[in-house]
Amino acid sequence: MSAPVSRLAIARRSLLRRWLSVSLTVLGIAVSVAMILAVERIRLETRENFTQTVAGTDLIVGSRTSPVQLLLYSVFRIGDATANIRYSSFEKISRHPQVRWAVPLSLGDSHRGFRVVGTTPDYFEHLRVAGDRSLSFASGERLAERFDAVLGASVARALGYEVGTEIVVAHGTRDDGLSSHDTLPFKVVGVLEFTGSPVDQAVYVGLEAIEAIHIGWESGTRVAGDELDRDEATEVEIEVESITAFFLGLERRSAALQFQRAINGFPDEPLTAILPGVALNELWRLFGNVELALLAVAVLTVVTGLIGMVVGLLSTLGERRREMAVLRALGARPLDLCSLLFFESALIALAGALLGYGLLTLALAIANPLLASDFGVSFSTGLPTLREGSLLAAVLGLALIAAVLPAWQAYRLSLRDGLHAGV
Amino acid sequence: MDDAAETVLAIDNLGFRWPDSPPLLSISDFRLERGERVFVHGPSGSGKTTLLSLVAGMELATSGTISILGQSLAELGPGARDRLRGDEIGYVFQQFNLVPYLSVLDNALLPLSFSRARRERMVSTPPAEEARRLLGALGLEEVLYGRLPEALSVGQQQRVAVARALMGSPSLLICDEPTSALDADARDDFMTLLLEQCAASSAALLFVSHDRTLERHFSRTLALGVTASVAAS
Repeated sequence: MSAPVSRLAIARRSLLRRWLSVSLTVLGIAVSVAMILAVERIRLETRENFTQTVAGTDLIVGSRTSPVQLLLYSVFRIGDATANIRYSSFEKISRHPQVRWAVPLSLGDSHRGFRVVGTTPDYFEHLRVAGDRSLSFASGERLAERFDAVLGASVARALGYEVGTEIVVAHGTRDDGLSSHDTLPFKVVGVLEFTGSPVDQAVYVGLEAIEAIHIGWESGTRVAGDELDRDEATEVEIEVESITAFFLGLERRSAALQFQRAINGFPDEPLTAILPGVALNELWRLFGNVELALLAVAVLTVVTGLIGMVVGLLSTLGERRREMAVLRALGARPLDLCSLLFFESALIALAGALLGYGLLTLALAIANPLLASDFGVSFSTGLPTLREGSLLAAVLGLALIAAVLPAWQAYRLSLRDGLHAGV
Repeated sequence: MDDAAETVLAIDNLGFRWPDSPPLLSISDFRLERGERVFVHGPSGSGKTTLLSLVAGMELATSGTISILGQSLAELGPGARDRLRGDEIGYVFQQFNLVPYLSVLDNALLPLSFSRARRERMVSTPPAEEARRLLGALGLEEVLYGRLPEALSVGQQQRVAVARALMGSPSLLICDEPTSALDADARDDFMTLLLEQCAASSAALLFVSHDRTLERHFSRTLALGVTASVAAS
């Protein structure tokens, strides 16, 4: 026959009796657990997300620069290019028999905080997101006329634009409202489906349009009289002279390394070609220390939470000496009192871990829509992964190690006090 | 049952002193038989509490032997003494007997959590039923059973403590000044119920008090003197 009042039940009631201080302790652990899980999940899923974003492109080519910088400005639209490349170089390379497709990018302008990307309709055909999904249109269609624009999903949603809206492009990537190409507005002809990638964050226009709006701006600002008017800009034959970068898809992916070397030694002008996956790894290496620092901070908060638990349990032991003596009189061995304290620690840590997981899930559920529209990323909210499960187990393990202190103190006090504590 | 099993507590040539202190206790020969009740009294500092600690196996005698049911405590390890206490001794303190976060009923059931022998002696009755019977026999109303000890008067708490001590029929009931926190009426009720239930479970009773008016309830008295004397009348 088992005992009608189990040790676990005793531990549980003892905790419920002190519910206020216990729940604060649990909350402390929960917050730290949520933090450590968040760091881990954001780290892994950001990597996954970035990897998927570049997965469809074999090579990225830009002016001579560092691979990470080229990757950041061409794919993620972070930072600016230091120099442009000649359009003739793009044409020459894209005609190579190894090249299956080539998409040019002309960067440097913006619209209300979103980057404007000059490109060709090929962009919408060849670019892949989330592994190998091609882009599709939520409404409207591809670029056809010179002053057509296609919007990424987040741009359309954030600014409330739809097909038919007229927009004005600002000169430069900081829209200060002072220098905008306001004489040459664009008309929205299409809106892309949401992809959860940087594609959502940009306005796409034709390469020729980018050239056209910059005629008369060669000095970096508007020179009155040199600009084209609307009719001229629409009609005039424009020869694209320079672009910022281009994406390449090759016939055989295995040729990418060789092709990269050939481009890096391109005779006409200094070019840099990168394998996006390799550049991404380099980026992660740069971030590695930051991630480690974040993880260390998260681990420290877990340790702080557990110290809070130990302090809480230790501080109650003084007033629980009477209770310990009563249990001793009932035949409890000092080790039984130890195990009672262990159970209490385990219950606190378990509740903290579960609540922490719940907090994270809740926080992500609330933050996901914002993250998706502002940064083009979102995080999963399902069951813990194996890795997160082992993190939770590690927290519980650490809690049991920390529990040695109050348990040992209970043991010591119960031996010293015998049956006559606190009367 | 043979004679040895009938003797619940046997003390022979007991001597005890705390380290660096003069001798405190000295009892040459004391026997407590099953069902018997003995009143222990003596002034403060005469070693009453120490004697109870020795009998409960929490301290070891400096010399001589103390045996429970023929088993010498000095021959047992600490774990075995804890087990013997859990199995065979019910203990009622002066006050604060109850675990504050357990209900009255769970407090009464608590000894079964630490003693397999007590559980096994109750095979015929479900524990909760026996606990209710004992609590009821000690004059506690059903409505109190689910409450926490803090909701009870001191007199009620002391009766819960007796019910708990008698759960699973231990051989020896030790009461350490159980009435000192009670007023006169509560004390008389308490004594009546205690003695009734103690007799019903045929446990031996070792009852310590400085209140000599209670002595009339007992068949024998063990008087402890200031300088450690011995008199088992």
